Amino acid sequence: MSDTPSHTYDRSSTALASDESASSDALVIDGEVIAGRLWLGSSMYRSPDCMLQALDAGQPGFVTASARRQTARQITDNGYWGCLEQWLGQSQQQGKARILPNTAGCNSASEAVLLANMTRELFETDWIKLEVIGDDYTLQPDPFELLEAARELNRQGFKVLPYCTEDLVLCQKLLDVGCPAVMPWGAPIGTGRGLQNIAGLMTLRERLQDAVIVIDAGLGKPSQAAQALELGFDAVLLNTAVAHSPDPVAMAKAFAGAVEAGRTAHIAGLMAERDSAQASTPVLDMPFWHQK
Amino acid sequence: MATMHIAIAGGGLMGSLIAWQLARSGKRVTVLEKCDQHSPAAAGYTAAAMVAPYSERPISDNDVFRLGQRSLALWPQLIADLNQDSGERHRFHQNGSLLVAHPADRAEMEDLERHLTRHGLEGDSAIERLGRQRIGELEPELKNRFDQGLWMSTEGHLDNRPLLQMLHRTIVSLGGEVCYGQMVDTDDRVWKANGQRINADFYLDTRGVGAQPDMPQLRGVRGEVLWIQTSEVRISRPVRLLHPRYRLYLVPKGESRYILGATELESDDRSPVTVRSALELLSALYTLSPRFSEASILEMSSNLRPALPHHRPEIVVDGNVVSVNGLFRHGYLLAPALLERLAAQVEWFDISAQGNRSA
Repeated sequence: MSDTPSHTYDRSSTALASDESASSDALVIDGEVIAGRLWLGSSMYRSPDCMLQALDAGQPGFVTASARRQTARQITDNGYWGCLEQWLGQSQQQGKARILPNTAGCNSASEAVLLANMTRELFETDWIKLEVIGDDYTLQPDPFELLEAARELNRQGFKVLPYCTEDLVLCQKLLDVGCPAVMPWGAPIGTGRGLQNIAGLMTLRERLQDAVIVIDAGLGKPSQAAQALELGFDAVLLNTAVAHSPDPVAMAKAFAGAVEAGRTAHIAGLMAERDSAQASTPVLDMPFWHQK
Repeated sequence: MATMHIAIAGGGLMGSLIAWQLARSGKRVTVLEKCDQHSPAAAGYTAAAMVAPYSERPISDNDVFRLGQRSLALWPQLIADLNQDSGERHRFHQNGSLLVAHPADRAEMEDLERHLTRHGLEGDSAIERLGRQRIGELEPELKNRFDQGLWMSTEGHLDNRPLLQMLHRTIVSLGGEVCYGQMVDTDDRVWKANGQRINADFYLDTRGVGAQPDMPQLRGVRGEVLWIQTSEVRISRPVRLLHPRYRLYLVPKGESRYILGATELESDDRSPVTVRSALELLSALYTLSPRFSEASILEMSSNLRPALPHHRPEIVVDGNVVSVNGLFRHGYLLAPALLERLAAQVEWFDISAQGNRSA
């Protein structure tokens, strides 16, 4: 595989999409159409049934799955993935959700590369959400190990979607080693704080105009997901906000609606913020010099 | 008329309770248990045996919550009956459970409140909100360690290991049989134990994860617990520590012993407790009170909880075979109420005729 980014998503085409129907606004990563801009995790649900109902309601483009057990023993299924695989099987037939295995729980490049290879066999997919944690308390990614793992996995033909920080240089280098997208965090995993460094994320968006950028982690509210899409990010990935809601099914639906609203708003074009108020209805009979 | 004979596969909590109830109503029961008498492996043996419908509300289905509330009401009488039948003394401890979160994790407390409100429990008299002082009054060991907590005042717990042994003894004293080392095979509706055909009028399958060959939907969910002992620290009721990553509890088990649990891993791996899990559990213990650091670790064990995809228990009647399974992490929470449900759903499951005891 070459060292140049192989992503094919062209942002200029979406800028022209204003007159077209929403269905032409496909998210394409590495030449493949991803069926949705909301991506969901598959852990922490009350039960597998509850998870599948939430996935039905959220219609995610990707469903992430952690292959690593905390037992770190071997990858065997106790029936949990069976449920998910069955759902995905039905879902994929309709061209919908795909599975995105992740390397959660890895702290080094070598661990992540090994686990990625195991998941490729288990889930029969080249897609991998690359996660290499550098700090166990904040679950902040380790940018150095991440880049090393990304380089190696791209070399091995994986489609690597790296979970990273919003550091511009890191994201650029991840794209340079062949990642078809980057996935900066909005906030630390599970915090639900939304986009904490909007200026930094916007720098990414503006400087990496052709790249697919997915906001991964830290989203707690549908409005935060809508904001990410409004600002031009291509998709969002979240888990806790849905799985921990008292009603995960309704919350998945809410996120799906928010993602759609945010994306549509981005395509429509947001107005610029202004310092002074501007009435939407001109009031001709009340000249300004009559105002107190 | 010949006495009705019922074979029960699985001598864990559900099977033992059923067998005892049938035996005391005059039925002939045979419990077929896979394990050796001295090395039990039922999930109910490893469990912390809490009856905590309120604490478990956020992760419980409505049916599980209702059954749990019912069990809470049923356990005292069941234990009284068991004490009467056995001539022994067992206790249902019912002094509530205490839920606390460290200041950094107070969002977990807010989340729990949101769940309780959602289920209409915000004003329930069984739930008391506690401040720093009240926590110290209930559990002096935790004084000044937590700013806020919840006391689920009606919740209880059992000394499950003695209870399971007591149930087995009582079944035998009432004329029933408990056979150990029996691998039950239910192929083609013919029950065999260690290859020998079992002839009974009715069959009850309470094998938990052991029933997997007949229930493809059933999966084992790994749980790990630690037993510790210390005379330096005294905790008088189950304490749950709310944490964003782990669900942790400490339950007093008498004689200065405590059970610390439990991990919940989507894996049917039965191998011993991992270093990582032990570190997590023990770190949580240390944050409850550093004085636990001198406690002895008596045991680390792992087991599998039998779970169905909806995480509700299921009673399935198929001719003269009844299966009860899917109690998941809620065996002691569900079992008494499931006895009632069995009696209501299964015609021959009659546990009311207490005067007909043949023993």
